[in-house]
Amino acid sequence: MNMIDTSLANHRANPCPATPMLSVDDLVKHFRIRGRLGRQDLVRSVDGVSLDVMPGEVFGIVGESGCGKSTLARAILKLTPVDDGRVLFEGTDLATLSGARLKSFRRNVQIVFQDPYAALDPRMTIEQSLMAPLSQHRIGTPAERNAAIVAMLHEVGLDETFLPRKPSECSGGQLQRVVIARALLLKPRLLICDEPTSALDASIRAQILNLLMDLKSRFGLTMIMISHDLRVVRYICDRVAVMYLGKVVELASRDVVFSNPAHPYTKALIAASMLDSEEVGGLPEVPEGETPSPIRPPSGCRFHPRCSRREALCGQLPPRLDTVGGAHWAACHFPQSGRKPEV
Amino acid sequence: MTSIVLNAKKEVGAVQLAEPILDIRNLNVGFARNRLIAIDALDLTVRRGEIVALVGESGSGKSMTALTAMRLLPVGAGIISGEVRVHGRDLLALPPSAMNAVRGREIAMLYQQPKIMLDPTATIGRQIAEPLQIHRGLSLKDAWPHVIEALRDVGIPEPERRAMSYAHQLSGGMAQRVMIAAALSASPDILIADEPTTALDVTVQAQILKLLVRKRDEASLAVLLITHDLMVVSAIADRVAVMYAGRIVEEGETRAVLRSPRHPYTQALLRSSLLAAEEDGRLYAIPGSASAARGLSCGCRYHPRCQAARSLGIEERCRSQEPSLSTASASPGHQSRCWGVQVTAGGMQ
Amino acid sequence: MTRLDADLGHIRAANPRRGIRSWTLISTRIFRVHWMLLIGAAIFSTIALTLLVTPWIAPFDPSSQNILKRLASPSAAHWFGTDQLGRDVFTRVLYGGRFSVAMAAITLILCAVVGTIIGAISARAGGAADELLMRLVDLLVAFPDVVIALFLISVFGPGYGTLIVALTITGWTPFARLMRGLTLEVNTKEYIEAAEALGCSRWFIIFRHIIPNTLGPIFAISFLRFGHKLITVGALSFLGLGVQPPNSDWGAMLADARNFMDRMPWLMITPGLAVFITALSVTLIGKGIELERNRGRDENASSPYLK
Repeated sequence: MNMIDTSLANHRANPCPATPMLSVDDLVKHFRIRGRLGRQDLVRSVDGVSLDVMPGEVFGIVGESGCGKSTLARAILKLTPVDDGRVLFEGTDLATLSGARLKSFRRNVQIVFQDPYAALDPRMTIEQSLMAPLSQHRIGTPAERNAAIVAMLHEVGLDETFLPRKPSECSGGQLQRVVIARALLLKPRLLICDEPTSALDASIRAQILNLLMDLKSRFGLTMIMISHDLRVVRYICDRVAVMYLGKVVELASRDVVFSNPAHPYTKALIAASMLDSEEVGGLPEVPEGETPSPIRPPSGCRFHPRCSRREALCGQLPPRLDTVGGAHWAACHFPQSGRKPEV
Repeated sequence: MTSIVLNAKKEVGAVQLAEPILDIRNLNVGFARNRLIAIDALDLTVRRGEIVALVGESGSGKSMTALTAMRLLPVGAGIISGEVRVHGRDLLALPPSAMNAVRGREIAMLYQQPKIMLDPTATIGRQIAEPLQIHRGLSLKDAWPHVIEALRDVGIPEPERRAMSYAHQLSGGMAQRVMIAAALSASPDILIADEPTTALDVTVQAQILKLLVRKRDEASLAVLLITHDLMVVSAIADRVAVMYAGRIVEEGETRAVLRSPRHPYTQALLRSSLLAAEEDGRLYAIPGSASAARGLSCGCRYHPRCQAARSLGIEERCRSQEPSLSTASASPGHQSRCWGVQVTAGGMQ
Repeated sequence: MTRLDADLGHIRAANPRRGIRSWTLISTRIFRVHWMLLIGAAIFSTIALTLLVTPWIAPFDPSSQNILKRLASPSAAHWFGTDQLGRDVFTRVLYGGRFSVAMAAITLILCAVVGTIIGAISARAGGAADELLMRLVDLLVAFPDVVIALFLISVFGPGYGTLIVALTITGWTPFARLMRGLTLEVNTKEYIEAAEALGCSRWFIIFRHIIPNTLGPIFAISFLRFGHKLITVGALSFLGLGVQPPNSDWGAMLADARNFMDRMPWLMITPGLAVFITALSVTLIGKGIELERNRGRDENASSPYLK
């Protein structure tokens, strides 16, 4: 805990021109599951994550399955209670919100889900799905609500002919537009996108990303883009946090992460994603093994069993997220930039 | 059938080519309920020791092709005509009992969700032994050494211990390795892999692809790789066929197709799947959607979305006549189904 | 059948499921429903309609006694014969059915409504409230429902109201259990999470999202439970705790017929058969709905192209 606090202090000392819109402070979320013989196992889904999201930026959270990125998103939305740490939205601790204040917070932060078929109630028409947020928050008269829905459908590239349709009568790309429209009807300031394109075909993916970027500038949105696809992140994000097994292992601006990754995991992820399309044939060198279970994460650095550069220290002491130069942070004892390990 | 596709003589004089293992000829598959054609006059050959990728978006018919080859079509879909030959024998003409003898022995399949496809109540060792028991008549005891060997071969540590574990104790990558071991345990000649790495993490994806490549090289395995991911194709496929609305629109050697795609759809798919910003800072997106092809009964299925047809001024021909697969470049076997390519090639002569 | 051939005509069979029995095919093709549902619905609607118009079609008055004709065998005038007081058994089966079926239907609807709402609330609330409600269900299930009903009737006295209340108190538990399971399943869907993130109220989520998406299985189990309800109502009447004379229902008729079982078996067979056929038809409907739902799921799952 202490180590993270120090790193947090460092992080805060970093001169920032604006106050963050969203601050996540040392957030911990463990799930209890029933293991064998009635034993309780702890899934350390998010294990001490701190980050700031600045107004107007697109903040990327990258990682593979089990890294805790989706749990982090749900904690930021207060859809799941947290075990430790805080989430501050514009200075307000989410833990203190309930009732009417929670409801008004919901208008500020919205989410777009991965699978548009699952994110819309199959038994509701598009109109009913879009009407729900407005009527639940008692925004406008029925006529105004109708006008707002139609206007929002046009914003996302659809039209009023979709209103009476059921989700089963629309394509995945169209439904994802509906999900985006529903999220934006409440005029949120922070939009969390949890893998918004990974369930979609390649040709649709580009359309949705273009739409999100258009809407971001039109509505002045701040965005958190959660993805496992580095191509999406490289295109859309300003800053990127790389997560591995519940921890942030690297945090920097997009260009720095892609051109000069400091953490071996980030390097491996970039290599495995085969971003360089010019290469035909040949597979990248990737680390052995798979992400271990978040129930019993490895000691020390959680990546060390798969790391090609590991040394004795890595298995003993968890590295802290520390700067490797300016606003470039990495949690590695032997980062690429050659910083001396601190024991 | 409305369209009869001339079987272009692709392999003329190609004596040095390996023997074809899987040979799909003029395959037509449709749905009874709404009379949609899922696969239209498909010709595809997979030879010994090569990985052929079948690429397309959802609804293009690529997974239906895999299911047809396994004779595992869903209820409501039926084969209209065509042949699926394995070693020259038409699987579609076999009685169901004979087909069971072929599945696993000659043709095997890998799925996108390995953990769902494994039986949760049986140890993975038993599941790998099953093809050996069925096809070779071995007892479980006699098959066991082969099981351990197969698990070691696909890179599973401590195979003796792992053979006794259950599907839920495996990670996604491990489960896919087990599926590969089970699929290959009766040493089939062709493996059909339907999106084998889509559900896996990228770092694990590369490991599984590497395993497939090793199997191709060591065991001269023929692989039909169904995928939507062009990066996977570029990494391991020897040849690639691109499907759109039930048809192959372009095929050829991977390098030729991905480096110099000739069909406008292949070009657009490649450009949009890179997710690299264009000059205006936006992403290239293919206009329209694939559903535009659904109601078409004649002409090129891609023409409603095709920009090349407009710029070449051949829209009328694209709308009324369907182009056949014809030579697209100097690369051997590179063919595309596009009037534009044929027009520009003809113009150059 | 021509229509069928036209549908499948251009498709060469590679489909092992083609050799299905033809009347199954007719039911699924022409009425687009499972044959169990079709037959069950046909029988049950006939029964329901007959019971509805009973006062106009019944050949006799159900309580008019004719001592001279007591215990008569079935004849053209008295289709099912007469009972020990000379009342026409056919008429009494019809009138008795009105009570039996109505009572079963009313308690069933009450049970379904109460159970569904409690189950949904329990699953959504989670934690201690959920635990408490489910233990209450366990407790109620542990006692045979007839015993609880007997207890309530002995406290409040026999009558329709008591009967309905007693059967509802004992009968909502299977619905609550099923609904709780279904709700937990629906709860994992992203649209529920989306509704929470959008700030939708607890009741909106339960009534607009969860209940509509679980109605199918609830509907199916309602029909499947109907037979059980019919028999419970009958059993209580048989014990003399349900319908009070001179009114009668199938259970009470069975009780009356006991003494003449060896000589006049039709007195027992006819109301028994009525219970059996009604319960069977409703069970067929329930089973048909269940199978219909599964069939729809299979088809949707197997054709991603039809999205």
